[in-house]
Formats: sequence, C-alpha cells, structure tokens
Amino acid sequence: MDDLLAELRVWLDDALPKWKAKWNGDTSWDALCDWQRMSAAGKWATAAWPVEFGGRGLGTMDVLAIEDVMASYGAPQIPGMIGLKNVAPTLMKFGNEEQRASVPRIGSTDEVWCQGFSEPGAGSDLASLRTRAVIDGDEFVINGQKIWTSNGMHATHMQLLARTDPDAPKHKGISAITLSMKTPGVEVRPIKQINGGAEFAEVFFTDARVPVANLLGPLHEGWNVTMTTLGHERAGVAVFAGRLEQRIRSLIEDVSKQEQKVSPIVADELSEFYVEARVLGMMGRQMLNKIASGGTPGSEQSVIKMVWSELSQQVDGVVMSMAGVDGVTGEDPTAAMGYLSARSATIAAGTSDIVKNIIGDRVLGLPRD
Amino acid sequence: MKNATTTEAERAEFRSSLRDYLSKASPESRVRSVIDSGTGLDEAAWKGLATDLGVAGLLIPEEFGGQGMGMAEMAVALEESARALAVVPLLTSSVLSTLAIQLSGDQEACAKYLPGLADGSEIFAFAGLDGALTTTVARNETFWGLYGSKTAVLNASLASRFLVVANTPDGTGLFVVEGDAGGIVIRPQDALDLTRPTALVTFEGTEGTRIGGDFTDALKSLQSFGRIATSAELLGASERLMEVAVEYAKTREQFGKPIGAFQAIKHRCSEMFAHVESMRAAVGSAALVDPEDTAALHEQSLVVKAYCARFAPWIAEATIQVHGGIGFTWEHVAHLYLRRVKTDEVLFGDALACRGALQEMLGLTA
Repeated sequence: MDDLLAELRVWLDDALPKWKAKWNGDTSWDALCDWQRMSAAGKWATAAWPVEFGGRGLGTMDVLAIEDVMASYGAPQIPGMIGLKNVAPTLMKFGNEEQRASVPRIGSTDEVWCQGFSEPGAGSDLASLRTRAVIDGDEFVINGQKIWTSNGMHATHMQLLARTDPDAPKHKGISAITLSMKTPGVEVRPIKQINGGAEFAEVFFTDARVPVANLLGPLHEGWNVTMTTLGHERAGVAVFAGRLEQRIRSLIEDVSKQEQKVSPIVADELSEFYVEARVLGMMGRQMLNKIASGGTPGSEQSVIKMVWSELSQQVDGVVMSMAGVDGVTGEDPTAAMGYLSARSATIAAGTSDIVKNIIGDRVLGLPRD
Repeated sequence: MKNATTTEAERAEFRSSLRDYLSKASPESRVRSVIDSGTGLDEAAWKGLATDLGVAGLLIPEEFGGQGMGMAEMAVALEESARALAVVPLLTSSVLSTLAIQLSGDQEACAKYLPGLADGSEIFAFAGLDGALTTTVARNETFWGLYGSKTAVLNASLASRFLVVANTPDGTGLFVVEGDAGGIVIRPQDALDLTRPTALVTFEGTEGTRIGGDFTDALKSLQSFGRIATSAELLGASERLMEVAVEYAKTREQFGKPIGAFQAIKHRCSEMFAHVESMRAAVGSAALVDPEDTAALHEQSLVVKAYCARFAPWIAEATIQVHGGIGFTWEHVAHLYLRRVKTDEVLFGDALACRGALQEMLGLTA
C-alpha cells in the first residue's frame, strides 16, 4: 500500500495545483467534473473498478486509504460518486455491451448517472414503487414519478426501477432499466430543501419510450440487480463514524480554547458526545479491521448507521444552542445551516425507524409487525 | 501485568470454554441457592474458575504461579462471570487486590502474596474504593496502625487478608492487613447486589504492613483498571439481559401476536442491541490499552466506564419494562442482574463522575 499512496501523492502534487490554477476557486459542477476527469484518467477515482474497466482492482482498505489521502490534500469532492460507486458496478455485472460501454464515460463524467428509486408513495417501502414500464413492441412505455434523485439536475442517464409485473409479489415485479435523461417524456425538477439547497430532483415520466434493449439484468429481477454495490460501500458507515469522532474532538478543542467557559450543563453535554463519539469511532475501526482481515460485516452497518445518525444530529443541535441568538439571526449562518441539514441524518439512506426495525427483525429475529 | 498476549481468536475460544463451564456450574438456580445459603461464595464455581481454569491467576506473572496475561484476557473472564452472576470474589481478589500488589512495585510482596492468589487458594479483599481519604495512619516501630473505615469492601467475609489504601504523613500508602488482626470490625452491609456481599470494615489501630512506597500514581492506574473491569462486568450482564428481553419478546403473546412484533418493544430491543455492541467495542478497546501508557489507560477507562455506566442500567431497566409485570417479581432473574449492574455502575466512578473527569481533561471546565 505504501507504494500506491506514494504514487498517489506524486500524482496529487502535480494534478491538484494544475486544477486549482485552471479553476481559480470555482467549485461549480463543471469544475468538479474536470477534477473527476483528471482523477479517473489517473485511475484514482476509479481505483475500485476491475482493471479491465479502467480501474486498479483495489480492495476496500486501499480505496479508503486513497480517499483519506485525497481528503488530507483538500482535493475537491468527486461529483459523480453515484455513478462511480453504485451504477457502474451494476452495469459491469449485469449490463449488455452498450450498457457496459457507459462505464468509462461514467469515470470521465461524459456521462453522469442518477438512480430513479424512491417515489412520493414509496420511500421506506421502496418495493411498493408504482412507476410503470409497459412493453409495447420493442419499447418500454414509462409512466410515473421518482423523487429524491441525487444528481437528478445534472444527470445525463438514469438507472431506473420500474414495475413491469403488477401481478407479482411486490419485490418480484420490478425491472431495472437504463435510459437517457433526454428521452422525450422525461421531465426533471429540483427539490428545494429546508436548508435552501437543491441537491435532489423529482423526475416525471409521461409516456416516455425506452428500447426494451435497455433492460438491465433479467426482466422482473430489478430488485436483485440493484442490490449490487462494491464491497467498500459497506465500509462507508465506518468512515462516517471516524469522521464524526474527529468532528466532535475538534469542536471540543475549539470550545476549550474559548475565553468564556461554557456552562456546566453544556460542558456535560459535550463530554457525553465525546464519550459516544469515541465509542462510535471504536466500532467503526473494528468494522474496518474486520473488512481488512477479509471478514464480512454483519450488524455493524446498521448499528453504526443508527448511532451515527442520532449522534450527529445531537451535535448539530448543541452547536445551534451554543450559537444562541446569533444562530437565529443569521449572524452565525453555519450553526443554522448545520442544524437544518442535520434533520436528514436520521432520514436519508434508511430512516432510523427502519434501521431499528431491521436490527429487530433480521439481527434479533423478532417477529415482523 | 502485560498487554494482551493472546489473539482475538484465542480469546473467543477462552470465552467459549468459560461460558460453557459457567452455564453448567452457575445456572440461575445455583446462584439463587448460594444467595440463600448466606455464605457469599459458590465454592465449587470458584474452584472451577479460579483454580481449574486458572482465571484467578490471569493477571499474575508466570514466575508467581499465574498465567502471565493481561486485561484483555481478564475482561473476557469478568464478562462471562457477570453474565452467569457467579457468586465468586473474582473482582476484588483476582483483579483489584492482585493488581494493587503488583502496582506497588514491591517484589517481596509479590513473591509472598501472589502465588496464593494465583490458584484461588487465598482470597484477598480490596479496601480502597474511596481512595485513600478516609483512613489516617500512625506509625509505630515496625508496623503501621490503621484507623478509619472503608465502605463497600466486596466479599470482605471471605478474605484472609485486606489490601487497604490509606493516607500516611508522606502521601498515599498501600497496606496488607491480616484478616484476623486485632482491631478489625467487619460489619456486613445490606448490599443491593445479592451475588456479591459487601461490608463496612473499620480499623481501630489495626496493624498493617506497608508495601511499596508512594501509592498515589499506582492508585490512579488501579482505578483505571477498576473502571475497565467493572465495564467488562456491565457488558456481560447487559448482553445476557438483552437476550432475556428478546427471548421474552419472541414468546410472550398479547393481542394475538408476540409482543416483539410491536414496534415499541422491537425498537427498545434494537436500542439495547446497539448499546451492547457499543459497549463491546469500548471494553475491547480499553482492555487492549498498553498498561504502561497511563495517559491512554486513564482516558480510555473514563470513556468506557462513562458509556457502560450510563447504558447498562438503562438496559437492565428496559429489560424489566419489556417483561411487564413479571419483570417486577423476585422470581424473575432481571432484578438479580439489575442489582449487579447498579453496583458496578457506581464502583470507581459512575457516568457523571467519569464525564466530570473527562470535562476537566478536555479543558471544558475551569
């Protein structure tokens, strides 16, 4: 691994200043895409991909180490993560020739992919989705609506989950279909969030026609097809755990340097967070050790997600309360932004209520509701 | 005491054999009958654990007849014995007294006392939970006279000797006191934990032999180990409590279905699981800290104890809650664990005390 990271550092020492000079502080979508293009050309953004698809075929720990080094250099955020980590592996595994040809273009950002999964009526209960794909000759005719589509506004393509057999049990009547976002009948609108941001889109389908050849994987097997991700995706929560521990340590360090000591109640609250963050970090490291020694994490993923979500929300809460009046008058914009944004921590990527159901049902074996 | 000498796989095997042994030697029925006997000791289980399985000598170097292992291995033993609520003096004799003697640095004392502790033939009780502050000491020619009282002396009635932490004119000292020395008054307390009797031990000019020199720094380390040891017990008890709650949630039916199907119960169980897994990570990490790295030992012991002392009681209480009325009966096992948990919560600093120490360390308090 040392050689790998040494190579990375050499590349970064050259590439990062070039990118910064070119874009001069601009961190717009185009600027970030250019960075990804460069990173993919160097086989860094695509390091987890198999060699035959332009990657390095690296395992979880190596990929995490690369991301760590990138973060330590302050490298810009990769904009096309969903394509790189979720869609591309699925195309590699299940795609036909044309679909697999998208893979290198995903790396270079010539194609930007999103995933059409959640719907207004199908969030936690994703399998109940109702967007319909009816076969008419050699085309699917698609009607319905998707919501919370990450990258939706920028996407050139979508990996869509649609119902193709309404009579089958709900998990078994879904197909995965790839399509161009320019397909007539596809309309994209941004979703404005409570914090003013708009990272997600709604996508409406009105008689959108897509070739049957765009089926991804077997017909009616879409549910299984989309459960494919690269192994190191599981490690994602473990990384989040480590970052939250670091965030809390930094927060406490900053608070300890303030001239005015915080009240004993706030001091106690912060020390509670410290304890929980330290313990969360230990769980994260143990999960990574398990992965590094070839094991498969089991319940760790759910437990860490559950604990991380609630703790990170609590931290944003205490930062907001420490900001006091400044937090509600815009004088301390980051406190308010952090507080509002944190509402999604217990909702996105699996609500805490669902996570607790999963632990109860699948880990503890409790009977279903 | 060394750092971990075993691999994770070896410790897993060790855990397995302890669990196996204790499930046969110390089932609930046995625990209750030992409690009712009033002896405060399950002799057969102590012999099996301490002597046959070598658990009493885990933290004792091989040269003194022990296993030459460390906290990582002892944490497993503490966890499993707490899981079984085995009525044995493991904590006070094989952990606290054993470590106190070694931390004193007194090699003569090690050679004299550790071998008897190593095979479980001798039981010592540690009298120093409140630090050194309650007992004053006066010197006479060769020996010291101890004055004052020590509370919460675990398994005092079983001890052939006491390890007493006391104040001297030149700092904190550690003293060995013979169990039959003059001037000792042992008043059994009405301990909450039925599996581990405690006593108020009063010394009225009792003769003690000082071992080692200034025990101040050693006491700090001992307290750190005490926090880790009680956390390991809290983990073992918590895991068993969670299992009992989950089992009940699967089998108890009301309104036409097992109560575990209802989200309120299910989520409570899931939260228990998350806390147990967190405790496991914390105890595992703290038990592996290099015992020579006193700063890390201190910080990690505060973190692990702060966590376990806060959430183990919650788990015990939640287990009773899941059981409804039956959880409130003497006959149900839950309260036996609750009593152990509440006691371990308090020994060597509860969550609030540990957080207070952390706040100071982190510079959050003036």
